[in-house]
Amino acid sequence: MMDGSDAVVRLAAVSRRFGDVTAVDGVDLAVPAGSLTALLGPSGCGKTTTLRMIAGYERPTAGQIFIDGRDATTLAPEKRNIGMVFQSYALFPHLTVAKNVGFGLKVRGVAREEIRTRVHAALELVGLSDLSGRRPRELSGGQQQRVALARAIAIRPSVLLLDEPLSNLDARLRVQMRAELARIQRESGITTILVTHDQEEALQLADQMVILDSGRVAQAGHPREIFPAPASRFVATFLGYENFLTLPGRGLVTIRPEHVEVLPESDPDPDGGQSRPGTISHITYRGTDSLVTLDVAGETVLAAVKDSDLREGTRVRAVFPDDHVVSLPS
Amino acid sequence: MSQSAARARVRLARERRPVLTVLAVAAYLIMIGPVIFVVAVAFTAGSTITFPPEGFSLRWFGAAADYGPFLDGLWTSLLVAAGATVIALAVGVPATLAIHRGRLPGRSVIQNLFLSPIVLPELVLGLALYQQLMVGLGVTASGVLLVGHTLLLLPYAVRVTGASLTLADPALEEAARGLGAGPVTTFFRVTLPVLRPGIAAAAVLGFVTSFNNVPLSLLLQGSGTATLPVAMLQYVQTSYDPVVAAVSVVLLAASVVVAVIAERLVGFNKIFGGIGS
Amino acid sequence: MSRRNAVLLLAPGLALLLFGFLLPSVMMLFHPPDTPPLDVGRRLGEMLTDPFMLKIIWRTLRIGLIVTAVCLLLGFPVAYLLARSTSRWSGLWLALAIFPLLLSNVVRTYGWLVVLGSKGVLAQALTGLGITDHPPQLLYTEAAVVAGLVQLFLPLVIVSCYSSLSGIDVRLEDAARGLGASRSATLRLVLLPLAMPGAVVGATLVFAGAATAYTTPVLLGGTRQMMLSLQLYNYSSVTIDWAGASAVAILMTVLVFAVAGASAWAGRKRVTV
Repeated sequence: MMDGSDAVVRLAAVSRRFGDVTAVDGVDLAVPAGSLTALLGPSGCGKTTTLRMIAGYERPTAGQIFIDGRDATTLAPEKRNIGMVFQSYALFPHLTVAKNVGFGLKVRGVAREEIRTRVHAALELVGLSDLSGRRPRELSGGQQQRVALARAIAIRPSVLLLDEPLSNLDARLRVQMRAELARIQRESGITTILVTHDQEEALQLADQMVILDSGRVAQAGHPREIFPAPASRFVATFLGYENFLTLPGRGLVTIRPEHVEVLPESDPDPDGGQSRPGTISHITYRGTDSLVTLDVAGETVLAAVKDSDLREGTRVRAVFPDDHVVSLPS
Repeated sequence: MSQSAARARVRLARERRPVLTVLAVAAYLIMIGPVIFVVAVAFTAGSTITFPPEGFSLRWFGAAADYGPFLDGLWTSLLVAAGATVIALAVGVPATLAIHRGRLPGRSVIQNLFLSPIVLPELVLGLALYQQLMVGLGVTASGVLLVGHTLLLLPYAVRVTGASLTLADPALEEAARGLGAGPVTTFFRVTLPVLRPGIAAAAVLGFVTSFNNVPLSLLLQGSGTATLPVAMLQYVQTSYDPVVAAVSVVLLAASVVVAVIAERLVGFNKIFGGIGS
Repeated sequence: MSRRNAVLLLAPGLALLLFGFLLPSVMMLFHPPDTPPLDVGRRLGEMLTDPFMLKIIWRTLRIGLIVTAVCLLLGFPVAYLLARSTSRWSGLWLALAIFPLLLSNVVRTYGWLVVLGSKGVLAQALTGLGITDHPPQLLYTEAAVVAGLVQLFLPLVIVSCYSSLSGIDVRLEDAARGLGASRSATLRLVLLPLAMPGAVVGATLVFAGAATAYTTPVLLGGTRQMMLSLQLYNYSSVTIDWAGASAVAILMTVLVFAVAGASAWAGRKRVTV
C-alpha cells in the first residue's frame, strides 16, 4: 500500500466501539486520488461503519481521519464535501429528480443558472436527463440508483462514497449497473470508496481492495495481487476458495474448485502437482460445468469439472497443480 | 439493513440539540407541571389554593366525599359513560363491518357520515340536541345526554374498530369459509377475535372521552343529571377552596389505573396515540 | 355479506345519525324553539356588524391561532426527539405526553388556577424572589387562556407530528447533511416538508379544539376574555336566546371549517411545490 502522502482520504488507526462491541478496530487506510477503493467483507465486519465515519455520520472512538490532507475527524458531515450514495438511496420523496440532484448545490448557494447546467450534466452522465421532472417514487430501482449517484456527483465531492450501491437491484440489472458504475467513475475521475459484500463486484471495479474481518484489515492491495494469493484462511474463504487441506511439504493450503483436476485413479501423478486418491460422493450439474464432491481420505474436496462422464461412487485421483495451490499460515 | 438503521439512530441520539431540547422540556413542563401542583395543593391543611401548601392534611378528601353533587355526579358520569360506550359499540361495530365487508356503493360517503359528529364543535352539537330534542320535542335530559354522548363516541367506535379490520387479512374469513365454517361461526370464531383489540381500544377511548366531556354534559344537564366534571366546573366557578384539587387527585389516580389497563389490553400508546392522526 | 345484511347492520347507526345528529343540526339553523322563521339569519347579520361581537370573533380567532402556533413550536421538537430517540425510555416519554389526554379538562385547567392564582405558584415565586411586591393579575388574561389551551392540546400535536416523523427515514437527514445542508437547512428543506401532513392534521385539530373550547376559557379567562363558546353558552343557558345561540353556533362552525380548509390547502400547496 502507498504511504498516503497523495491520499484523498486517509484513516490512521481508526476505531469505533458501540458499547461493548468494537465494530472497527484500528483501521489504517489510504485512498489515492482518482482511485476506486473497495471495502469488502461479510456483514458485521465494520465496512459500513468505516464508510459512515468517513462521511461524518459516526465519530471514531479512536484514531484520525484526513480528507484532502485536513484533519476531518470531528468535522460535521455537511462540512466534508462528500458525495454519499446510500444503500436505500435516500432520495427526498418530496422533491423532483432535478431538485434532488440540485439539493447539494442549492444549500451551497450556487446560482440558479449554474445549478441547472450542473444538474443537467450530472443527469446526462448517468443517462437520465429526460426524467428530471419525475418524483423518486415514479422511478424504477435502477433509475433511483442513478439519481442517487447523480446527486452525489453533482456537488463535485472530494470523494464519492458508495454503500452497497447495487445490493437492492436484481441480478441482471446489477451486472449492467456494475459496468455503468465503472464507466461513470472512469469518466468523472472521482476518487471513490465502495462498500460491498460481493467479491465479484470488488474484483471487477476496484483498484484497491481492502478486506475487513471483525473490524480489522485482513488484507489490502490490488485485486490482481490479492485474488491469487489470499493471505489467510478468512480471505481465501471470502474470495471463494472452498478447499482447505494439508499437503506434504506445504502445510495448510487452499485451492479453488475450478483448479482441481479429476483424473482416473490409474493415471500417474502429473508433473508440477500433487495428487490424492478419492471417491466421488456427489455430482451437481451446473450447466457450464459440474461440481464434483470428492471424499479424499475423510476430507471433502470440491472440484468444478467440464466433462461429465464421471459417476458417483467412482474411485478417482484429485490433482492439485502447484501453480494454483496457495499456502496459508496454519 | 436494520442493523445499520439502528446505528444511524444511535448517532443521531448522540448529537446535541440544545434548542429542540429546551423547547421539548418547556412542552413537558406545561403539560405536566400544573397537574403536579394540583396534587400538592390537594393535601394542604389550609383553606385556600395557596402554594406552597400550608401543612399536610387529608381534610379536603373528606370534604369532597361529603359533598353530595360530586358523588351524584360521579354516579351519573359512570352511568352515562358506560351506557354511551356500550350503545356506540353496539351500533358502531355492525356498521363498521357493513362498511368494510359489505361491498356497498358509496362506501366512503357512509363512512364519513359515521365520522361526521366529531367534526362539529361539541358545544354546537350540544346546542342542537338541547334545542331540538330537549326543548323542542321534550325528551328527558338523561335521554338526550345519552344520545349526545353516544354520538360523540360513534366516530371513535367506527374508526378504531375499522382500523383493526383493515389491518386484518380478508382472506382469513374466506379461509374459514373454505374450511367449512358457516357465516355465523366465521363471525364468532374469526372476525370477532380479529376485531377484539379494536373493540377494546374503542371501549377504553370512548369511556374516557365520555367521562371527561364537559360541553355536552353542561348544555344537556337537567336537574340531577350533572356529571362529575360539570359539578367540578361549577364548584370552581363559585368557591376557591381546594376541594376540587382532592377530587382531581382521585381522578388522576383513576386515570393511571385506566392507563395501566389500556397498556395490558392493547397497549397504551396504541390506543391513545391514534387520536391525533 | 349480502347487501341486505349490510344495510340491516347499518340501519341502527344511520337512524341514530339521522334523528340524533343531522336533523337536529339542520333544524337548529332554521327553526330554533320559539323563534320566528329566518330569525337566525337576521341575528347573524346583526352580529357581523356589532363591534362587541366582532371583538369576540377576533379574540376567538386570535387565541385559536396563537395556541396552534405555540403547540406546533413546542410539540414538534418533542415529537422529533421521541421519533429519533433510541433510548429504551422513549416509549415512557411518549406515554407521558399522551397521558394528559386521559385527564379531565377541568383537572388540567384547575392546575393553572394553582399556578396563576393570586396566591399561586407564580405569584409566590415573584414575591419570594423579590421581583415585585404586588404580583400582576395573571388569571383572567388572554395569556392565561392561551397557556391553559396549550396544555390541553399539546398532546394532539405531539401525537400527530410523531406519527409523521417516525415514518421519515433517518437516512434522508443523513443524505441532506452529507450534501452540505446544515441542521437548520435539513429541518427546513427535508423534515418540515415531509412532516407537513401530520403537522397540518395536528394543527387543524388544535385550532378546532382551542377555538371552540369552553372549560378552559371560562375558568382562566372568564367574562373578561369572552369567546364565542362562552357567548353560545350564555345565549342558550342564561338568557335563553335561541336564535342568538344558533347564530353563534354557525359563526363557530364556519370559523373552524374556514381555518381547517385554509390549512389543508396551504399544507397541500407546500408539499407539491
